[in-house]
Amino acid sequence: MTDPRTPGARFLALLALGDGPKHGYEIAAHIEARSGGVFTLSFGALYPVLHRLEADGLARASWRDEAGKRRKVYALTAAGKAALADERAGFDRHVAAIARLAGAKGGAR
Amino acid sequence: MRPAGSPPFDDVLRRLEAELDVPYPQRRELLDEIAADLAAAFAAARDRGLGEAPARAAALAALGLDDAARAALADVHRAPVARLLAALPPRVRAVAEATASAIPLFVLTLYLLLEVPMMDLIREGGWGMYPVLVFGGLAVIGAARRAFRWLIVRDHSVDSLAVDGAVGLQLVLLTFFAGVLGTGTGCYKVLALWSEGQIDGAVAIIGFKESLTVVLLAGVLSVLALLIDTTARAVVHRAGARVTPRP
Repeated sequence: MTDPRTPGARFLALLALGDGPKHGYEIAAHIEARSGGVFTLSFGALYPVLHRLEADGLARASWRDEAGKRRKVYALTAAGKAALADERAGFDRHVAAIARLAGAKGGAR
Repeated sequence: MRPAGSPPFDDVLRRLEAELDVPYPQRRELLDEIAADLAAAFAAARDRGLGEAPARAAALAALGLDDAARAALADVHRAPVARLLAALPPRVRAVAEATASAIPLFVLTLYLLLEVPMMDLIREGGWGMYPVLVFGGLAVIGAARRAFRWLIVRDHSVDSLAVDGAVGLQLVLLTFFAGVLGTGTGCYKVLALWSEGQIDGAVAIIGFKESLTVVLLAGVLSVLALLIDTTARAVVHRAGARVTPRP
């Protein structure tokens, strides 16, 4: 992990897809909008993440027509949903641990 | 394929096609995906009230396919054999590639050794066999090397797909005509001996048969080289790649 404050792009992509099937640009826009601009990813940076999820069987990609335009849409598979639950649990533990540490530091003052 | 109504990002997509280190057909699908997402980013920028040129710039900025992302994409799509070769030291890798490229020639040699004693074949063909073996061997190895790179390693970089087709064709022609020449000189020698009464008809027939082995081997090697080359070209073409002449 290069920056402990930043969740991995994989986790962000899984979270975005956990909210429903999306295409690359939509995932990037979703992450930026839902995080209030705290996390920004170019959709180009998401391609390796999404293709890896697809290769690992965590996401399924399909071409769909949306308002007359073809889009490659990704959706989580059952394994992807399980991976998201795992990552979410790990992240919650991480946040709880940080909160305890922050609380302990505050209490020592 | 460009989605209907998408802005003109063709120049960007053409550049990306040349630069991306992803094998076909995945590269073609990735380019379609990028085109679709660029169109979506462009439409979103236009909805925010931007003019066409700023919207195009905003869409390209949102793409942000930097070197790290390209390297990660190449890694996701790297063929298992390419992954294995990349882990080897450069010298070992070169030997492994050369060995793999020699497999068709090795199989043919093995077949000839089992079906026809190789030394008998060479002895029957005479000196004409040696140029046929050298040129034919080079033609087969050259074609097999390209097939190995394109179909097994799945290296579809611009450099790998640039082929000096003339050299391959020259080697095949050289192999075949060396065979014709070897057979021709063998037959000429037999005819000369027969006309001088030094051999009888029965021996002459054996001489003609032995002379034919040169052009037969030349034909086998030429066809094998062309077969491997044509198959490899057809498969990569079908996957969406373009084989170009080496400048």
